[in-house]
Amino acid sequence: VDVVDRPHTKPRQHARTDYRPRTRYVPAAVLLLGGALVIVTWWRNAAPPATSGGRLIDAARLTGLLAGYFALTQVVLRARLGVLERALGTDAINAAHRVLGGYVLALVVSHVALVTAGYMRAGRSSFADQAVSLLRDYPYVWWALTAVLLLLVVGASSAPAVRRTMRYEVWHGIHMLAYLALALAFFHQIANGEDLRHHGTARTVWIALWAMTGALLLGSRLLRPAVLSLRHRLVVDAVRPETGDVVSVEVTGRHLDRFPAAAGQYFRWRFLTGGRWHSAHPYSLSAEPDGHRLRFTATITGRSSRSLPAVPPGTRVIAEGPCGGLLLPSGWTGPVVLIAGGVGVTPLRALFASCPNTSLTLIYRGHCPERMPLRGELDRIAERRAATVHYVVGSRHDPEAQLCAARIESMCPNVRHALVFVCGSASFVRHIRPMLAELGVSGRQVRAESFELA
Amino acid sequence: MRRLVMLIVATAAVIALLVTIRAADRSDVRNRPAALSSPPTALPTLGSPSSSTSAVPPPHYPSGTVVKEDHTDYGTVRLKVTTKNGRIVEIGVLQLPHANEVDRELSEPAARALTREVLRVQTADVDIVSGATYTSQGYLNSLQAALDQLS
Repeated sequence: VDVVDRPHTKPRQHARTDYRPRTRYVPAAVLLLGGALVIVTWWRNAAPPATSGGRLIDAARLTGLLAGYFALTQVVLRARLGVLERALGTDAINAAHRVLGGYVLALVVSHVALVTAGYMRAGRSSFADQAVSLLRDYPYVWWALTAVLLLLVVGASSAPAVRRTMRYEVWHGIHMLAYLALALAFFHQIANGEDLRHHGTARTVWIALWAMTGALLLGSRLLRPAVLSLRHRLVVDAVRPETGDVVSVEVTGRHLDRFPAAAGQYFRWRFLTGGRWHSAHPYSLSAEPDGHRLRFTATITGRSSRSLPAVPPGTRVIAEGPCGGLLLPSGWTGPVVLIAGGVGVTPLRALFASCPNTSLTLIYRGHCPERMPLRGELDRIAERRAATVHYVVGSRHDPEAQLCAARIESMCPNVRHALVFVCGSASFVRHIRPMLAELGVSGRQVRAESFELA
Repeated sequence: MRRLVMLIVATAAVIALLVTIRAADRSDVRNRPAALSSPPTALPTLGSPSSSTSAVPPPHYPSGTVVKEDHTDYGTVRLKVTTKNGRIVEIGVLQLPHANEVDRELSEPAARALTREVLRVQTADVDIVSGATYTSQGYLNSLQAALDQLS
């Protein structure tokens, strides 16, 4: 056994495994703190309930407030904020968004049920009378009901079984209805909410939160990409075929040395050409930004990427981002291990060329050479930087071509002290994580991102 | 999926617990539990003999002015009660539950009806106004509290 691998003899600079900023717990803490503040507001703002109907209405108020609050956090998670992307990474953001999505839906549905049941009981009215009264007598409840229906459609379209049957663009279009739903739902909150309709701190804070979140969303997802695109005049320079069905797209512009991008990140690219301008697709930078060009590499599989090779040079580009948390922390001088599955190599290719190479290893797993792009470049980088590339090629049924903990360790004996970046399909990432755990690599040493459209 | 289910179950439990604690708090404060169980009766009933259930003559109130409030499920009722020469001479309605138009349409007439009735029978022992159960209860609770303090 290599002595370097033993903890008590590990070199000083390798000791720093806390590279992953603890700030990743900050978003979770802020989320919970906000939830607690919502509960305090609810507790203090209205009188305690005296009857069973009152208790239902009391619970309805709380579910409504919580739904509104968590709906805002959903929007913030999706605002592509640099600070969140860096702290959490795409996979964690997606996972949180999925859980919170179901959670908000559950809160909204219980809010509707509790309000109706509570007022039915308090007013001793029938369901039909109460439903009519709620819709007719209270301002903006019609709007809110429309919002609930829209959110149910959004939720249903995101159930895995339904999602699979849909093209990404269709699903994404449906998902955008959630923003419309939130806009519609806002007005009934401040018009009827017992905690919000009186002029006071709670109302002011609530309106400010919603306005700020809306501004954040518009600024981050529409205004900023447009400004970046105009300022840097991003245009397609060339589309080059790689192996098989993989192409690289080079984008040029001016002042690209000041373009906010780092190796390991991705952008959502939108091409301003007939028929494509309305959809943006996430592709990783496959080369480290060098101040003169940006390059991304994509597999031509989906309906939209199929026309990618036909995008003419000179096409204007809007880049939304940067997104993703496959970032090298500044100051890291220890070993780095990159593990790529198939076209997941793209962000790792950029890191491979730019991260410090005290000890740098890339493990590149693929089913067949045609589906493993950029190998020539990787070999050249490895030679230039005295780094190591291991190719593990073969079908998933070939026992010789599988990765396992022992194999990873034999290829990079110091993996336990390394920063490990993993990128590939979701199943690839799920497959690799336990191997790293088995090798004693702590979760904070691992930065993983999977390719999925979300 | 499992995380989501756990989150929902935990939230439901927390909400149920919080609401129960709040309701328990409330039941200590409540001073007229009987009023809650009495079903809403027919409409306002000004001057009708049935509205006054007490046959005993009203007490002689010491003179003074008191502001009292009561919290209902729908908001606060705040009254300014003035007594003079042993009688209730004025009831000012400072606040009623419900800030929106619809609710105001219900609670303001109810409060006016209650005021007239109370000034007539000179006690807080009058029937609640149907259709405005909560407003009535809040009104009568705060009135009773004011009279109790004056006495």
